[in-house]
Amino acid sequence: MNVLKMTDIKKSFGGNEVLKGISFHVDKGEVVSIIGTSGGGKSTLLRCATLLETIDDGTISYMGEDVTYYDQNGKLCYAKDLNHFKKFFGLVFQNFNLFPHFSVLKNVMDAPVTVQGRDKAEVKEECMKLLNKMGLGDKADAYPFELSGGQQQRVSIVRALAMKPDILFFDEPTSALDPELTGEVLKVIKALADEKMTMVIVTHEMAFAKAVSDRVVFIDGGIIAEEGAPEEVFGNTKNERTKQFLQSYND
Amino acid sequence: MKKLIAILLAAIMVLSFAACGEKTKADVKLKIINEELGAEEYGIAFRNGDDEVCKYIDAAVQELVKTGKYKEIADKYPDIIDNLLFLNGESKAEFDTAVDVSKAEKRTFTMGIDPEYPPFSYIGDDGEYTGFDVEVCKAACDILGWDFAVFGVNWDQKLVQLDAKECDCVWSGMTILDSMKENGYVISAPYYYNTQVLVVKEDGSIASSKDLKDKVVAVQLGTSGETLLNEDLSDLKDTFKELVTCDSFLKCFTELEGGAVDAVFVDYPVAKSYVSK
Amino acid sequence: MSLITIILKMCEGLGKTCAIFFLTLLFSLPLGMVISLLRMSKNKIISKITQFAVSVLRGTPLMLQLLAVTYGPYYLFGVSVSRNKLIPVVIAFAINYAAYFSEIYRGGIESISVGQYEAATILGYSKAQTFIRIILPQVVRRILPSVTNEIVTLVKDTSIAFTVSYQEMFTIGKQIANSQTSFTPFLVAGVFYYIFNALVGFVMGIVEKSMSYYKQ
Repeated sequence: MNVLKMTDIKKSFGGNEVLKGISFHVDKGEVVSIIGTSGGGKSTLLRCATLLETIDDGTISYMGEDVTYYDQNGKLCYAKDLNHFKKFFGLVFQNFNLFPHFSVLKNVMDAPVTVQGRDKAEVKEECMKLLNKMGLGDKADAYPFELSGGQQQRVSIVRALAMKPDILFFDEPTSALDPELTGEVLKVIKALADEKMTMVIVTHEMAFAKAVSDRVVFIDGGIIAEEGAPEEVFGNTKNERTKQFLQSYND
Repeated sequence: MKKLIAILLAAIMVLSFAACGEKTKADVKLKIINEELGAEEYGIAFRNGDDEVCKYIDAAVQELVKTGKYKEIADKYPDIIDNLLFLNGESKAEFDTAVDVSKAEKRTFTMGIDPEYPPFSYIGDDGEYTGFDVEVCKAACDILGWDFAVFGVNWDQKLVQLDAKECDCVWSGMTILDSMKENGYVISAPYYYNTQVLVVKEDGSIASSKDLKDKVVAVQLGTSGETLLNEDLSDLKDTFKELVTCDSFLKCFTELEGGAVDAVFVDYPVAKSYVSK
Repeated sequence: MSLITIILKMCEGLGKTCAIFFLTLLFSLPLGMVISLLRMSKNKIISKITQFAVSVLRGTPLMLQLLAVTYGPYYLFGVSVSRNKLIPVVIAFAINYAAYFSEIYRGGIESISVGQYEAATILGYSKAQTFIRIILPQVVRRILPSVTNEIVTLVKDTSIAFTVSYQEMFTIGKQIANSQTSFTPFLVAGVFYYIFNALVGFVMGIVEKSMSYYKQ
């Protein structure tokens, strides 16, 4: 079953069509990397998938349940209860977006307790386990400003995981980090991939994408220019645009 | 906490300084130049339609004059006694003799005063409202059997506050203006003859209003003196270098003593009371 | 009149000064939030009307607003003027200060990055939860210095109540000053205001400190 299925997604910003009909799906346990030029539409696709942006046309469904539908007039509508769908996914931002006034533990615990209404003690135990796993056990009482960028990003991954999502999105998770800090974050994502966490990663780290992904999607000019196993895309691409793009990274 | 204590100590110091400061103020002698400018009369203003109330108050005051109580009160205020019309025989007012003060219906009578206008109405040494007008009104209310109350008006808004029934009269060394009658306010018999006078430094060069050419003169905002200078005496005003308006007479006099202005144009009783201090 | 009498007499008014101060804060702080939310409403008409109202409240003297609130109803509709002056005084002060607070709140709310809202949305917080749990605490921290400023101004503005003959501390001081031809009451008033504001600064300092456990 597809965890996420998006078909024929179109999205314009003020007359500028950013997504020109993208169909995209993710299966359970799959790790998909989205690569592409800046402004090519990959971040927009992620924002549409996570319901931060509304699509102009197309359909989105999670776990076989439709998020969007067409009414009798053929008008595109979103389901009433979007919170129902938000349970299915989590998102890790480029800029972490941790809550600065919450301690690390509160950052990761608050949503499961307030939003999902789960038992506090149970959530705390789980979150501490996750933090320990990420090597942040001793930072539970620290505030975000006391952490390095890499640590903050790991906290934000724990925050997303604490919600027990079926699929986790990463929006350029290492772009805001100093180069020497990217490794620790990528290691964590790699570990999640090994545990068969379903993930979609928008990234510029080509080597990482190649190592961690089951499938690589290259988006260019608002369409999927190429997609396939990493060996195919990175190894012997037939697509000219992909070649050019990868070339520019190797330089 | 330390900081708070420091602040409190500083406050006490300032206060004790203030207490001593009273005596150290430069001793400037002032004098009054009375040219009988802007002759006018003081009266009591009541709301439109309150003719009955006005008659009772007028009658009660006459009763006080008759019994000598009025004179008794006036004796406490030597600065104004000479100009009280009911005592110096210059009153031309006629009274409705049919009014019987003993028939007045019981009520509360709230007197509207400017608490900043000694000797007519002010805060006394004991911190309570007092003054010639206040004492007369209290005595009049006793005669009428009315409960007496005082309301301190904001002088700029006195007629608004009277209209709004915050008080039942404005009785506070108030000059009767034609505009008040035109606007329907009921006005009592005039009880005080007033002129606008000049207050200057005793050792100064100013001896009459003619010497005010190119001088700076202060006047209190909203007083009849200010109106006078802007209307009937505007020719005189035009000879001044500048006319300064202060919002209280105390500030006017302080400006004079401090040398910022050369003369103060003010009601006679205010001048007399201030200069005699 | 002795200094003690002056101080005691003015202390009588100090209670009224405090009443204006605390009641104004009590009503204007939340009212300001309502106004700022209306101002930021997606409904253009509501937002524009609120913007206009705020500009009137900030663009005209408080003294004028105080007169309008106290005597306006009487002149317009013949409603009798409230015997208890505290009511119109607090209404006028609360509305006026709410207008100022609303703009401070708006600035604070708009300074919170979009990322905070997006993170909260993704985690499934409702709009109300997002505002109360995530946005508001950060806004409060950011606007505290400006709010303190307004509160200090409010302490001094209480003296404007003399306009409608509300016998607060400064009104009494002014009356004594002119009755006794003495400037001492003004000095006393200055000391009172200074102590009052030192206390305000002390309390706000504690509040600010209690919120400085994190950095933005």
